Amino acid sequence: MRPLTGDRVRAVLAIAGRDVRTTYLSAFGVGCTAAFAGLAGVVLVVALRADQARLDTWFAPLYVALGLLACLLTTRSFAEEERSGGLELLLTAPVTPWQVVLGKLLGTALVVAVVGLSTAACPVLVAHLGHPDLGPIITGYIGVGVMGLAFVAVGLAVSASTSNPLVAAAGSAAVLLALWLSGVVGGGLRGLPQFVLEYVSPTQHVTGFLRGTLSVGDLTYFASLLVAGVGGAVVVLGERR
Amino acid sequence: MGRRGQHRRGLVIAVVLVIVVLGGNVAAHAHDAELDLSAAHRFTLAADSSALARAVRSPLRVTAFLNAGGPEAVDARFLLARYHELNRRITYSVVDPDTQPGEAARFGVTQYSTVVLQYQGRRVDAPDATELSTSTAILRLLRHVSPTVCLLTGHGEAALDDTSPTGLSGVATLLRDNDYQTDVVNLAVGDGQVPQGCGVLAEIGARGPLLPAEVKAVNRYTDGHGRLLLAASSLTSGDPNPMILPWGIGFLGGLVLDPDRSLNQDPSDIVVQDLPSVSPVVDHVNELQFPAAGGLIIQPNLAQGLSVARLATSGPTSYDDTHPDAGFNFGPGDLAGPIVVAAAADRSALAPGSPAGLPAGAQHLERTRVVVTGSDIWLRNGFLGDLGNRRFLVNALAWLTDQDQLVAATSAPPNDRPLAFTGERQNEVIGVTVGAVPAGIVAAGSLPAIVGRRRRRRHRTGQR
Repeated sequence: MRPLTGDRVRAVLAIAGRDVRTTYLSAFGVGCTAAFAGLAGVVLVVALRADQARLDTWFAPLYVALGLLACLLTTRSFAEEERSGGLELLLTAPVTPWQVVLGKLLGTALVVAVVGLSTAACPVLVAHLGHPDLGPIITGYIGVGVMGLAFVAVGLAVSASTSNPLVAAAGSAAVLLALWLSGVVGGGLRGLPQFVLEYVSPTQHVTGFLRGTLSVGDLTYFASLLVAGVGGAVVVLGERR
Repeated sequence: MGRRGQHRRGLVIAVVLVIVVLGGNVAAHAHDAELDLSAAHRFTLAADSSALARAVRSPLRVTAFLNAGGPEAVDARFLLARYHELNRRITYSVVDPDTQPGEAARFGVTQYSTVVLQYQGRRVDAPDATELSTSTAILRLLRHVSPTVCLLTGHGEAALDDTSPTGLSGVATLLRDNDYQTDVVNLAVGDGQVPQGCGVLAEIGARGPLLPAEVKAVNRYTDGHGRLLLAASSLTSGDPNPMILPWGIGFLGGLVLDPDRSLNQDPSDIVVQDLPSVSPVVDHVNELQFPAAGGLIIQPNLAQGLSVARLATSGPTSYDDTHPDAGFNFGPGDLAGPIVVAAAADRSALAPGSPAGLPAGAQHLERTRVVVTGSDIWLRNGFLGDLGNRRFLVNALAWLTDQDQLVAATSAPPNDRPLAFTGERQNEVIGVTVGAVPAGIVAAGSLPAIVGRRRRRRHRTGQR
């Protein structure tokens, strides 16, 4: 991989910008964002019924919804684009697989960021009604960002490996679900298998964000998912080229 | 680059990625650092707690019985996850006794806020899922010491295997659940000595007098840095004072009556709400139910090294009726409240000599601890589960056996952030988050399409 400078960065930004525009000029992008914001509102109502001004019980289901959203958004990145013929044009353009994948990652991450921002009214309302602990809200949103990037990267890798959007969405969801369930399986084991299975599960690493702590271990885990996802997508795309 | 070269390059990237990912995670796990942004750093374990968690060598199971929907359950999960993160041998679950009554019954748990820790076939109950309580319970499990509580018998005391409302089977269960061993001691037979292995000597509700030789044996035991739990009774023909006066506490007898703080329209069934000391014996205890209690008196001039704490006192309008048989009236000779109904004495002194494990010439702390209550009824099966009685007994035994506050961890303040989510507020939240925000997003998202359509229409009109 060559350093990203000058034209290369411009190419990455161009791919990202094109993806963001395409998403938000379609009913899909607007609908996803509005639906996520609405879902966040419903979850907030349920969370506040405990009569406590705390948002950890609000963030936890949002993280699950974020995984599903990442699966949907990344479907469009490669699989959908290949079906519409856009990917062929992109792969024959003078850009490297790294630039394509990073551009797609940046574009989808920007959409996830907008979706995350659309939920900002919830903590503002809770702060208006009560006195929530700000720490877990900050770390909760850091979790949204970190997890969003990681899940999108995993989704990109799956999306790059198939031309069928349905398979891409189901495949991404299956990978994330498998990661999630490994913690459940690991909980019933002992020793190294327990440690490994629990470690690879995101559930072990989201607790910190929910309670208001940031640990190097949790951030490294999600960074690993990001690196693995991006790397995997680059390798797959290189092979397909 | 040829097909084979491309393939080889992909393989190299994949191998490098695996190495980077694995190496990064191993390094992060080995040198994990953390930033705690929660209020008062609630979820950063004290050094003592971290060391304790790492010292666990066998599977340790923590089961917290809490209201699953309440904030305590969420905090308990967060806190117990910290222990699990430090040592995977520590596992935990939060169980709601209402939704899983079978599980609660299996553990003998009848109320919220009970945390059961199990380790190597032993069990210790903690009063709540705070760091201090959890770490103290872990330490007790790790110490491999199960103090023996010796119950005096032979004077009409209730039996530990008596399951009737007046029996002490509840005490026996509580002792077993908290990793204590029990022994029954009759000082009138055998060598008349309190056995060496007694960590605590308990005299609960004697109905007859102790023989002078028995009193001497008890005093010899306490003088020799023993630990005594004495639940006195107004219904006894004996006098417990020879055993407790040396420790600055006297038993007045009579019957403490508190018309304003009593239950069942019985002024002698008093509810103790004043727990004025900072003694760990009253930690997490808000109220006590002490039926048929006699008053205690604390001597004004205490010997050097002796301190006495008023653990529980009756209300300001209460009084100690010295002649209750003549009717419940405040009369001559009666003592006006508040009346002390539970007290704790501690005599500590540095003594020369070197117990095993200390270098020659070193001094060591010698300590006698005594807890006296003016009632024994609160320990009976019919009352042990009421109000804070059970907690009070657990605390008293832990204090007597030096197992209180074993961990110098600070207990984080409760994360109670009340928000009355009224119907009006609910409508406000729904209106904004489910109505206005999504509608605004749809409106904003439709703008480009509307603008584009108008432009196209204008363009078509211009062409005509």
